[in-house]
Amino acid sequence: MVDINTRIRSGPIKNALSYGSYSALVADEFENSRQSIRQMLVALGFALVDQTSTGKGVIEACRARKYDLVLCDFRLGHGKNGQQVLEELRQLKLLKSDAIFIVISAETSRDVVFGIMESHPDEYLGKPFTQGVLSKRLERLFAQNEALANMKEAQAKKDYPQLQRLCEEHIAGQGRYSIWCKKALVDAFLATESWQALTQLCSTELESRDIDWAMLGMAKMHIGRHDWDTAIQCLESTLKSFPQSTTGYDLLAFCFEKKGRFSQAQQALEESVKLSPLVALRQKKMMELSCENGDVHSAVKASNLALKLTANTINESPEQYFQLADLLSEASVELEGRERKKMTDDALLVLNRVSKKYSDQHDVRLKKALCESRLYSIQGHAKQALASLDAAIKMIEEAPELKTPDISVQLGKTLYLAGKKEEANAQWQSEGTVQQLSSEQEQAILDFIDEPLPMGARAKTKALNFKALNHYAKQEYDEALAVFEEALLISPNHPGLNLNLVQTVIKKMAADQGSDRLLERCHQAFQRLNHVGENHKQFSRLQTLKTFITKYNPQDSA
Amino acid sequence: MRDSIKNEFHHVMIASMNDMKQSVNLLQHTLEKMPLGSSSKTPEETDLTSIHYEISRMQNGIEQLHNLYLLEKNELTFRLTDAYLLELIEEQVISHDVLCRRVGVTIKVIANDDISGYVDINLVSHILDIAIVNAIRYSDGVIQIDLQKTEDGTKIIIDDNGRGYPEERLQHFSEIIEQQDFSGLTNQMLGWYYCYLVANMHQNREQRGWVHLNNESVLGGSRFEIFLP
Repeated sequence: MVDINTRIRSGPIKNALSYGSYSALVADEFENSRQSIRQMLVALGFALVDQTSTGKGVIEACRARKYDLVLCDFRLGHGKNGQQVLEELRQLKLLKSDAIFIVISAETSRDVVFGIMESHPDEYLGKPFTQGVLSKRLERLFAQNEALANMKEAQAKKDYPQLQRLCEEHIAGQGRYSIWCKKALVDAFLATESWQALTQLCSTELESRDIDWAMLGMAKMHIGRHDWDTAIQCLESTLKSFPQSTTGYDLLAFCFEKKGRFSQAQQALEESVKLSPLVALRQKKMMELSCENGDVHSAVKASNLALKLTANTINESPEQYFQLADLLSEASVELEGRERKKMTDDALLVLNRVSKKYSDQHDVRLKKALCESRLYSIQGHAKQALASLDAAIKMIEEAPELKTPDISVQLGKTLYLAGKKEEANAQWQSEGTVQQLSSEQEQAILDFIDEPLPMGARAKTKALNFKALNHYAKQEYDEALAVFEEALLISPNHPGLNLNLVQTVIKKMAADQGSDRLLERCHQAFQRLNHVGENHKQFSRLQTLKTFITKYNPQDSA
Repeated sequence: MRDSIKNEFHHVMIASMNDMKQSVNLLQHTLEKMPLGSSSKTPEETDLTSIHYEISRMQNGIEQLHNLYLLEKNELTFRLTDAYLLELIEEQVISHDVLCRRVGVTIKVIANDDISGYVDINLVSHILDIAIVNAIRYSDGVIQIDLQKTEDGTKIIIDDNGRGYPEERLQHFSEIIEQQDFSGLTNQMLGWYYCYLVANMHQNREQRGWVHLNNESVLGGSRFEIFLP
């Protein structure tokens, strides 16, 4: 029997002397809180304890000095919060590799707790805490740091054989940090694709109970092997045991996306957003998936939140504002009256915010004018659209260096929406532009010309296309043709839709008889696809179908 | 309209809870710094002791109310992680050190080995907190916490040397657990029920956690037993 009471009362094993060379930083919005934590650290023997009340203050202090310990409250007034501070410090590499970063917080609301946990601080300490508790935690954290120093070094260097050796040694000796080592091994096996070792480790752990990291480890292995179905199965059973596993939902969304099941992907991601909404990358992913599904309102919401979460951090960029303004303007099309006006006003407000915030950047002013013009075009305000467009063109004339490939893409879109289609094409095809475009930018232009519609309308045509293909699969060609025609009324130049229509006609003619009326519909479809050139991904399909239809031409057969 | 009122009240609750917590935390911090006084207490020092005790109780009460509210709304954070249970116990004992000295209670911790459990650290720490504050109130100077490994989990037994629970309270508690009968619910009973709920949220396959109250304390008083699978 171990009587540990002496240990509890004895205070820190690391006595005042051993913190003597350590420096600490305390960040708390409230003076009294700051002071009391500072006093605790001084009493524990820290040589130097600096303090600050803001996130900006933490970044500056860490730039000036490499602290051994940072104690940072989650709430830090207006600017960055503790979670954002930690992410930024890591990104800027302002923390020593063995520094300990503790987030402290009095909040217990789930979004905050999850947000903090997902930024992986060394420790999360709930307020209030006494000096005794702080001392105990620090003692443990520094002891753990020391015990794992070699493993963490191997981990940082991606020296997996060394990491594996050290971890296995520690586990074999029934070391105190065996669980940490096992988790590190899971990551190492994933990185080195050592599937057998990974399976063995995880299944041994799972013999006696369900453990989230072991179950997720298995799921990640299936993902690593691109075995999406097994991964999905594995994740679904993990989530049954651990319904609050945000990683589980994120990975599930990833697998569904890989399978092309975008709406299920969005549903899965919605669950992790519900649990932990304060993660900017998750909101960004949510926006992308919503866009993919044509769910413009979810996209607006996620884009708004992503912007809020990166505000005042190094990851904030003007592009986010333009994206949000574009989304708001697309979403407004589906509304009417006051609601529509409100959303348009919101978009204009976002544009004003970005130009104010980045007032010294010429390209932001230019992008704002282009975005504004698109907004007015979509709302049907031709005069204002042209005024903004003219202003943008004038800016480019005055400073030609502003015309980057990205601006060329945007300028073309803006011209197109303002009804200047030929100018748009000329702009995209001009020698200077074509050579500079990346393949993604080129694809973005092609996609836009195929379907220059707001997201909501694109979603509608996508749904109709799907419905028509269902009829096609059941050999209900008349119904399929009717639905394709309905979709083409919304999106006349869409290559996929037009070619699907032609293919259906061919099937119908094979089943029944060719007719001039049917062939005419095909020729009309080909005419609508004049824009599909050699670089378009549907070009060869178009050529094949054109040849096919020619064979059926009654004049030819005559 | 009704929905918007409900929604606003959610924010009122959260903001008020956080504010109350801040105030009580500040009070507790102030009390921690005040001199403990001699063993023969002046009337002021006796008052201070009961203030300190009540503040600790209030802290637990607010946290408990907040968590029960979140649980009902299906918004309570529940995250299982590997943790050394002795560390959680140690922290709770340390955090009540000043109160114990003021009241004149010694907590003895015994443990055969340092058991690692798969638990929600915050919630388990909180029920330990509730159990310890309660034991401080009713003990006659000594509390013993025993950490035991069982075949299918871990037991934490908190014994005191007080007068034990009155029989009707034990009866009432078992009625609450078995029949979910909440009539005549006192705050103390609610606290125990909350502890039971937290333990019960811990589950390994078919096995669930529980909380038992009885008078089988090795010190002759009451016993509070927590089982975590």
